[in-house]
Amino acid sequence: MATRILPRLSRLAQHLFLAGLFVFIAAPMLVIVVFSFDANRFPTIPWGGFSLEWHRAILEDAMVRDAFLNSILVGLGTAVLSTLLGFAAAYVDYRWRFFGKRAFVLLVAIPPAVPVTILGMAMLAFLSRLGLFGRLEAVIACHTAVASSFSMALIRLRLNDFGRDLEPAAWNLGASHAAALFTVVVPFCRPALIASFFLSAAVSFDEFMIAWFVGGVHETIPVRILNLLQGQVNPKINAIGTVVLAVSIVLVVLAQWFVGVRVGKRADPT
Amino acid sequence: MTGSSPPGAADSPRGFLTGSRSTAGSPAVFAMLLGLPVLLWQIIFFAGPLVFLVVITFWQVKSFRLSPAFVADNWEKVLTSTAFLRALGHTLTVAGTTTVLATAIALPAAYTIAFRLSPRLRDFAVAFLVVPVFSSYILRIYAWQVVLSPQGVINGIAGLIGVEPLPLLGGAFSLQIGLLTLTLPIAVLILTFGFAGVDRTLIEAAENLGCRRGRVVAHVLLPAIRPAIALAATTSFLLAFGDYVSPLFMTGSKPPTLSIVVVDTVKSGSQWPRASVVGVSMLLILVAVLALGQVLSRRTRLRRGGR
Amino acid sequence: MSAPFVALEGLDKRFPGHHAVRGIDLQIAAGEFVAIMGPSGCGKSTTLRLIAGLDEPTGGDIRIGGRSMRGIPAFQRDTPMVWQSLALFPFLTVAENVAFPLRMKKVGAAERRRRALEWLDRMGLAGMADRDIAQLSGGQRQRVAIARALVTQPSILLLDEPLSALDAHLRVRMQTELSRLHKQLGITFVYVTHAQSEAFALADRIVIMSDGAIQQVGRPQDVYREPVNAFVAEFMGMNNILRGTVRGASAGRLALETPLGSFDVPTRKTHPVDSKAAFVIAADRIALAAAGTYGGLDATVIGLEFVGSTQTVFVETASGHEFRIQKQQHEIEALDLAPGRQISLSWEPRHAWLLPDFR
Repeated sequence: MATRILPRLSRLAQHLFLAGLFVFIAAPMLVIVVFSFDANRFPTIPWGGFSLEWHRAILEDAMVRDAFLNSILVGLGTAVLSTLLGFAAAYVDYRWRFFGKRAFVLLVAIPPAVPVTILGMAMLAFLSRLGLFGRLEAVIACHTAVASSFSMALIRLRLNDFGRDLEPAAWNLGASHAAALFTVVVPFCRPALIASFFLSAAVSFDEFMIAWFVGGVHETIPVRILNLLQGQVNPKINAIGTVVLAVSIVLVVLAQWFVGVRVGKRADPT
Repeated sequence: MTGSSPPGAADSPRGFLTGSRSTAGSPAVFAMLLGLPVLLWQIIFFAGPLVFLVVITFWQVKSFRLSPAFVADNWEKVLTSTAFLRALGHTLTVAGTTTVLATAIALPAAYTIAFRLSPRLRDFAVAFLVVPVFSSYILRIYAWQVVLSPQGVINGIAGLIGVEPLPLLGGAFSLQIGLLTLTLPIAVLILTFGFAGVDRTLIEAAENLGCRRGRVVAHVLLPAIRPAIALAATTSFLLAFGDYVSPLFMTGSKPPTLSIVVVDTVKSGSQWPRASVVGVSMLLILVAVLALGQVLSRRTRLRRGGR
Repeated sequence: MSAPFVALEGLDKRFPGHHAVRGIDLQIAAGEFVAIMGPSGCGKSTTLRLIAGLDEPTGGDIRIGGRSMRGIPAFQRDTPMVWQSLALFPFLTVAENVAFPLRMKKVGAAERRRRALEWLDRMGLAGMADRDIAQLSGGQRQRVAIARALVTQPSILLLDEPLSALDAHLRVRMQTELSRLHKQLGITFVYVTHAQSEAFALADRIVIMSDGAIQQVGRPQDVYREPVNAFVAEFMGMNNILRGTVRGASAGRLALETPLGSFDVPTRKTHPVDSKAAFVIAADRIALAAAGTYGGLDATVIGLEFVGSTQTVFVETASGHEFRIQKQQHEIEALDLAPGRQISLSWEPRHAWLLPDFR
C-alpha cells in the first residue's frame, strides 16, 4: 500500500501546484472586477458594499470616453491592416522562394521581441522626423508593425494545411492567379484571418507604451489607465479595468475559438 | 508518382521566382504586389525607427536641440556613468531572478498540464493561459498594487485578524510578483507545448527499461525539451528585462531599471541621444541573450544526435 | 492516325538538378484514350503538368488542336485535370466544387447550379449537391472531382493517377465508369498511372516512360507481347529475359547461345554473328511438363502465388536463373506443383520475342 500512496500524493501536489498558479494568474483580474462594484473609494477589505457608481462615473468621464473611442479606432485599424499584411507575408512565405526570404520573414516576425519601451522611443524619434507623430494613424501604423507578426504566424500555420494541389487545381479549372487567391486561398484561410483580426485587435487594445509615445495627446484606453495610475488613487480605474478586461478577454477567446488551439496530438493518449 | 515525385517537380508550384518564365506560376509581379507593401511597412514602422535609434546615439544636443553629428560622446558618457551601470546591474539581476523563478515554476506546471490533465482540461488550461499573454498586463499590475499595498487586500485581511500591516509593496518581492505576472503564462505555454511535443513512445520505452518516473523526467524528458526550456527562459528574460510597468508600479522606480531610465530620459526632453544609447545597449544585451539561448538549445541537439 | 489533337514536340523539362522530361515526342489523336505509364520519377506526371500548363517547359512545344501552347497560362488552356489528391475545395459544397470552373468563366449563378446538378446527376450523386466534401465517401469524392473537370465540356481530360487512393473494389468500378464516360463523351483522355491493370483496361494506346524519355508507344497488347527493350519487358512484368550471343542467323531466325543453352528465336532484322542479343518469353507462354521431358529446361519450383484464377509459379534452374510462369489453376493442380518439385519448361520458338533494342 505504501508504494501506492506516494505517487498519489505526488499527483495531488502537482495538481495543487497548478491550481495555485492559475489562482495567481486569475486573481488580479478578479480583484479588478470585484472592486469595480465596491462602493468604497479605496479598494480594500472589508468590501464596502455593491455599487454601480464607478461604472456610471466612467460613462460621464469625457476623457475616458474619448480614450475608449480612440482605442476602438486604433484596434479596428490595426486588426484590418495587420490581417492584410500578415496574410500577404504568410502567403509570400508559403508560395515563393527568393533571395532574402529569411530576412523578409524575420522583419515581420521579430517586432514583438523588441521591448515596447525601446520600440516606442524609436518610433517616436523616427516618426516625428517624418511628421507622423501625435496622430492616431501613427499609432495604428506602429501597432500594425507589431501585430502583423501574430497575424502572419496564425495564417502561415493555417497554410501548412493547405493542400499543395488546391491552387494549381484552381488555375487548371480556369482561375487566374488573382482569382485563385481570392476564391481558393482566402476562403481556405478564413478561420485564421478572423482569428488574426481579433488577436491583432487585442494586441492593439492592450498596448500602451507605443501608443503613449507615438499618440501624443491622443490617448488610447491603456494610456489613459497609465496616466490615471500615476495620479491619485482613482476608484474609476477598477470600472474602466473591468470593461477593458471584458473586451480583451472576448477578443482573445474569439481568436482562439477560430483557430482551435490544441496541444500537440502526440501527447494525446486517446 | 505524385507521392514520390522527382525533387524538382514537388517544388515547382512555389519556385516561380527562381524559375525565369512562367505560364504556370504567377509572374514575379504578383509576388511583389503582395510582398512589397509588407516590406515597406515593416521598414518604415519597425526597422527604420530602430536604425534611426542607432543613428541618434551618435548625434549631439546643442542648445536643447537634436542635431546630426558623429560623436562617440554619448556612448562614452552613458557607459561610464555609475547611474547607468547601477541600473544595468539592477536590471540584469531582476531579469535573471525572474527568468530562474519563471522557469522553475513553469516547468512543474507545464508538466502537470501536458501529462496529468485530460485532453479537454489541457486544452482549457492552454486557452486560459493564452488570455493573459494578450491582455491587460497594466491592469493586472495595478490589481497587485491593490492587493499588496499597505492598506490593500492582504493587509486588510491581516488587520481583521490582528496582524500588523506587512510591507509587501515596494521591494524585490512585489517586483517579482509583477514580473511573474508578465512572464509565467507565456513560459508555461512554451513548456507545455514542449512537453506535448515529446514522443510518448520515448517515455514509455524508458519506463519499460525500468526507469522510475523521476529518472524518466531527469534523463529523458528534460533533455528532450531543452530547446523549449531555452525558449521559455529567454522569453522570460526578454520580457522582464524590457518591462516598464512592474518597476514603475511595484517599486516606484526605486531603484530604476533601464526601461525606467529610458522613459525618464526621453520624457525629460533633451537627452534623446543618451536615452538612445541606453535603448541600443539594451537591444544588444537582448541579442546576446537570444544567441545564448540558441546555443543552449542547439548544443543539446548535437549531443543527442551523437548518441 | 488523322491529324493529332495533342502533339508533344521535343518537349523538355529541367528542374534544378533534375532532368525530368528529355525532349519527348508524342502524338495523340482526338478522342483517343492514352495512358502514360512508368515507375516513380519517370517524368509521367511532369508531362501531364506540362500539358496542363502547370509547369513551364524548358524546351520544345505542346500543340493542342493545332495551336501552340507556348506562353498560354494554365487557366486559359481548358485542359482540366483529375488529381491524385482530388484537390477538391474543402470550403465549398459539392455543387459549388463542380460549378467552380463555370464560376471562373463568369457563368451566371442559376446556370452554374443547373449544370452542376446535371453533372452530379450524371455521376450518380443526385441529392448530394449541398453536402460538404468531408461528408462524402472516397468514391463519391472521386466522382465529384471528375464532374468538376468535365462540367465545362472540355475536349481533353487529364487524369493523374486518379484511382490510386481508392480500394481495389472501388478502383474497378471507377475504371468502368471512366471507360463509359470516355465512350459517351468522345473526348481525349490522357491518363497517368503506374498500374498496368488500369492502363490495359482503359487505354487505346499506352506510353511507357523511363528516366524522362519515352521507351515505347503502342496498343497495350502489342507493348505487352513485343516490348522494345529490357526495361519495357521488365516493367510489363516479363521477367523471363534470356541474354546471349548470336551464333548463327537464317531467314527470320537466329540462334542465340545463352548460359541455359542455345535457343531458336524469330527475328525481323539481321544480327551479326557474335553480337549480343536478348529475348523474352511471356509468363503465360511457357509450358510445364514432368521433369526430364526431352527438349525441356529443367528447373525447381521455388514458390507459388495466387493471382485470382491464375497462379504464378516461380522456378529456378540449376544455374540459378529464375523464371516466372503463369498458369491456370487447373493446370497447376494437374501437375501437382509444390515448392521443391522438379519440373521441365519449354516454349514454342515463335513465342520467343527478340528485344529489338538491346544494348
